[in-house]
Amino acid sequence: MSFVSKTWAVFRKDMQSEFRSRYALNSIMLFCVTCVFVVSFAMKSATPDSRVNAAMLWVILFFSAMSGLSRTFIKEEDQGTMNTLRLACEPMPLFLGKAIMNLSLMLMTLVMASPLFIVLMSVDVPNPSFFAAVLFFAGTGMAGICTLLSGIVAGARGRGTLFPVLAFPVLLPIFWVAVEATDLALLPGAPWEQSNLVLFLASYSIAAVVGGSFLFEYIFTE
Amino acid sequence: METFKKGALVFLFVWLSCVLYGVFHVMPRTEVLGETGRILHLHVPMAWIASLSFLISAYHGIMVLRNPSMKHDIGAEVASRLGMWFCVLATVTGAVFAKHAWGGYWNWDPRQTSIVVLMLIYMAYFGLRSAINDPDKRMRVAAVYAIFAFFTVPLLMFVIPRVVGMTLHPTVVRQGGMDRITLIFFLSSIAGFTGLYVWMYDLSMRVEKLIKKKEGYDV
Repeated sequence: MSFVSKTWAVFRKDMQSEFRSRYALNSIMLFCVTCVFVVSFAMKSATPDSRVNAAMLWVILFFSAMSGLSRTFIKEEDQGTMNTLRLACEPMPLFLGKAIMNLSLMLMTLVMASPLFIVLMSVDVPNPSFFAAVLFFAGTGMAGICTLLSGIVAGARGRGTLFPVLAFPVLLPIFWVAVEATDLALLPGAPWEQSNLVLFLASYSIAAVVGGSFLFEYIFTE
Repeated sequence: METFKKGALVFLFVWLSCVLYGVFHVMPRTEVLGETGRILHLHVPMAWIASLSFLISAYHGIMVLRNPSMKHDIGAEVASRLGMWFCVLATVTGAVFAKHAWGGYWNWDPRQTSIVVLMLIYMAYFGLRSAINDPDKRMRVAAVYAIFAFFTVPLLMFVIPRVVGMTLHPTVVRQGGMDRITLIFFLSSIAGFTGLYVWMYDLSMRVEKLIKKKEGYDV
């Protein structure tokens, strides 16, 4: 099998098992929706400014990602299928397939959560294209990084609590820039003049996925 | 070798005592920052050593991945442990300075962010290490995390501040705003604390190696 078809096979296998159990999707989605409701309920009729809205949106997305995206390799370890994967596939296509799977999960979450957030918090989005670009690239980066970190914690004890601890410092560049950029997107004005922010998110995401796919080999090979 | 080490240690003690005495009694107060400027001679060496230590840890991490050996794993752990302490000191001295200069202990200035993220990475690193039993796996996994996390620090320090906005942090050295005697004390302080770090590193390495030997590993 070629590199691409192996990557595709890993992605398809995960997608299929996801559609049968809906475990990751359910956990990440329910968590996210509950968070949005909790925040919205607590804020009631208060009208926070764009910065507070941006901050809350990203706090919700961060913890949703933590709850769902860590599952990729932990799941394999729990079901005892990690060694099968080791026999069937090289590290790099496996990592990329898992990263694409995580990316799809993250995008589904974004597509569900952000409109819900906008509606429930009655947020104005004067710059939807910039908003969407920020969400997309920040989501890509988070998915890529969480894939590697999931591989890192898969063999560790107490990984449920360890995962966010490991992830926060590495995700902080994304988190920081994403909050700043979302703030801009929620304000009237021309945020595309600050396209540096989106460029940074895009390049960090690419670097994280490429770097991760090389480093993954060392933690995967026994 | 032992006599040399002892001599160097005595020299280091005298050197650091002189530097500390000089910083408080000989050096004139700085123009803009006043008396609070003196903390610079403690704070900057701490931050410098925290970063240096991280670099050493990442170097050992790369060596572990290239050729797994207990020696480099011990090196990475010792460098991280010392780096973490210096990181805590840098954060605290920085916060004390920030309170007087900018009016609040903490304001997420890019430098503060990067140093505190460095500290979080160290903490996460130790959390990860203690969560894995198999020494061989622990070695590789910890190294991968250290290398991966290492790339975020220069980003937080240099790239993101340019992308998102301004910094409050004084850049005294770059602007050439330091008079001669202050500069001499500043550099001697950095040299002295680096010496202290080298001594601590050497000592910790020897202790760790003895412990590992006792546990039956070949180091």
